[in-house]
Formats: sequence, structure tokens, C-alpha cells
Amino acid sequence: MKQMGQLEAAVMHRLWDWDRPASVREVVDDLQRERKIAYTTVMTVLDNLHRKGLVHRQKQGRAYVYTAVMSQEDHTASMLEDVLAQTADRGAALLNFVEQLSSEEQVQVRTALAKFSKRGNQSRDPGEKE
Amino acid sequence: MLAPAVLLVFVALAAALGPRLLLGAAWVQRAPGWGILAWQALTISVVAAIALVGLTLAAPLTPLAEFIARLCRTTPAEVIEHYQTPAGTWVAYLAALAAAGLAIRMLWLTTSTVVNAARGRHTQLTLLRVLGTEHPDGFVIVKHPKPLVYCLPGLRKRVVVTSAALEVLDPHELELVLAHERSHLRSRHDLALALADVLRRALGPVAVFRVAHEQVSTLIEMQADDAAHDRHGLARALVTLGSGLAAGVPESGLGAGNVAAVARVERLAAAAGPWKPWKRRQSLAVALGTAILLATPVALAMSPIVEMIITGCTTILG
Repeated sequence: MKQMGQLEAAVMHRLWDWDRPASVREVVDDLQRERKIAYTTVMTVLDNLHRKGLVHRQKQGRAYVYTAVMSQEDHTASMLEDVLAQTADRGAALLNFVEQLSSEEQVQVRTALAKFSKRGNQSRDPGEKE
Repeated sequence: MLAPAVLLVFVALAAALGPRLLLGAAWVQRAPGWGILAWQALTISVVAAIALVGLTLAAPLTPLAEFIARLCRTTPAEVIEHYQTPAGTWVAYLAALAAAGLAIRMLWLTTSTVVNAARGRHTQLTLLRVLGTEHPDGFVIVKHPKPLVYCLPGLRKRVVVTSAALEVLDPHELELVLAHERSHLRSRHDLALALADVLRRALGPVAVFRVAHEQVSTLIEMQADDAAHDRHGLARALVTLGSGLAAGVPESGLGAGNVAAVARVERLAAAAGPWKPWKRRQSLAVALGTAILLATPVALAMSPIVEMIITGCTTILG
């Protein structure tokens, strides 16, 4: 399962780098410079990626050629959009460490932190393990 | 007889006084885990009382009366006598409809919340597989100019860190932030959040559910903050990431702002020394309060039955 993920990533990175339609054969040949891999395996991987909506495919002659649906940057942006949306409506799909602070809030937290460091330098928490 | 009225009074009192009490209590922030439990107990108790107002009003209806009679080993006539209201049958039917409506609504919202969360996570995981790079310390790195750290709860749990976040945090701070995220995953904070969310969406007009959702969202963060062993370092990381996210973004003036983050930093800062020890006595008190809060609506709804049993006994004895 994990290996499958690595393969999917390797295939996607090639499609992103080439930025043009590529056949299974081309992907296999490029991958084989690094590792031994069967044609059918790569075909399955591309099929999976197509099913997941990450690549387009087009019939060219008797075989398909594949292109990435979006650039790597756009994919990342769309993935992180869910996280960046300031939101109560995100629900419980994911938990964000901290959301954006307004300039006023930045002043507030910096002040609190400054007060803390002054005190912290005088007496460090004895129960604290460093 | 009186049960629906008494339950209504309980709903009003709990919904008005409960939030005021919890918002003013220092122990809620001192022990956020217990705080979360208290808010859950309060909201569940209020929603149960609302449902029981409907059920007690509907109790004189034949099928319900027969059901209750079987449970309590008495006759339907007795049940009807003790639950009958002067309002009459129409109100009983309306109440039954309302109670069923509430139950269906809750069920629907729970399902949609679970499905939406699962769908959101699935999309994230699919993209992470091709976009992310595994780090040996058990998190996934994604190349992005915004400094973000977040986690995906559930069976296939992941912590995600962007390349920008790796740049602005030093290794010690990163370790503290990871401890925070892992605490979320361990404690299944997503479930606490989902429960608060369902109740808020089902009964949004009642303020207690909105306040509870907001408070639980903050308290799960505070509980996770406590998993980091260096509070100062974590507060620093919070400020760095929160400010970094704001860089280059025009101030919208919209949105609720980030009150929670400010409260977290102030909390971490105020506790420069060791926390005042949390005593077992305090845990017991909160647990007891929670139990009483949860038991009260049920006890109130059953009071006519209890009364019926007692009068039954005295009749026999007399």
C-alpha cells in the first residue's frame, strides 16, 4: 500500500515535470532508469490516478496518453484551501494548529509573550524538562 | 401532569445559568479536559430535557402510554392519568411530532457531519499521497509558502507540516507543535468537535449550543497545548505561525478573528511557573456535577412514574 503511494507520487512528478501528454511506455521507460518495474504495474498506477481525478487521459492510436489535471502548485493550493478557510464550517475533517492572527492580535500575543520571557528568565519552571 | 413544565424550567435555567457558570470558572481553563466534559454534559443535558418535554407531553397517547406501562409494570390508564395535561390531545400529538422531528434532525446532521468529515479527509489523503514527502519523525511535508501545521484525525491519521512552517520553526519548537498535534489525534478531539457541531447545527437558535461549540473548539486546543512540555516554546511557535500566515494577506475585517489563539498564548504565558496542582477532589467534583447534570432531566421526566409507584404502595399499605 505504501509502495503504491510512492509509485503514484513518482508517476505524478514525471507528468508534472514533462508538462505534456505522456504514454504509459514513456513513463515506464523513465521509471526503469531508477528501478525495475513492469509495464502493467505502471498502467495500473495511471489507471488509479485517473480514477482519483488526478490525471486526464486521451486515446491516441491504440493506447492512452495521460496529462496531469492541475500543476503541482495548484493541487497543493486546493488541498490547503480547506485548511486555510477561516472557518467554523470546516467541521471535524481536520484540526489546524493555529489560524491567521490579525495585526491587532499579533500585538496582543507579542505583549503576552514578552511579559512571559521577562518572568521566565528570572525563574524557570522547576517542573519543566528540557 | 407537571413533568413537562418542570423540564421546561430546567431547560431555561440550564441554558441560561450553565454557560455563565462555566465561562466564569477558572478550573475550566486549568483542566481543559474536564472543561470539555462539563460543556458536553451541559449541552447533552439541555437537549435531552428538550426531547423529554416532547415525550412527557406525548406520553398520554395510546401507543406511548402502553409502552411506558409495560416498562413500569402498570396499566396504560395509570400512565395517562399521571401524564395528562389540561392542554389536551392536540398538544400531545404536536409534541410527539416535534420530538420525532428533533430525533430525525439529529440523526441526519450526525450522518452528514460524519460523511462530510470522511470525504474531506479522503480528498486530503489522496492528494497527500502524491504531493507529500514522508519525514522519518512521522509527519508529511508539503511544499507551500504558507506556514501551516495541521492533522487529519481518524483511522489513517496524519500530521501535515508545510515547507514554510519547517523554515520558520526551530527543531525544538517543531517538536512541541508535533506533540500538540499528536495529542489531538490520541484524544480523538475530532469527535468532541463533531458532537458540538451537530448540536450547534441542530439547535443553533439556542445560544448555549453556539457558545459550547466555540468553547469546545478552544478547549481542545488548550488540552493539546498541555501535551507540549515547554509552554514558552509552544507559545512562541503559535505566535510565529499565526503571524506568518497573516503575512501578505490583506486584512479582511471579516470573520470572527482569532480570539482562541490569543487566549491560548495568554494562558501559556500566564502559567510561567508550574500549574497549581489539580487535585483529585476537583476531578471528583466535576465528575459528580456532570453525573447530576445528566441525570436531572431523566429524573424530572420520570417523576410522575415515581409518584405513581409511591402512591401505589401507600394505597396497598393503607
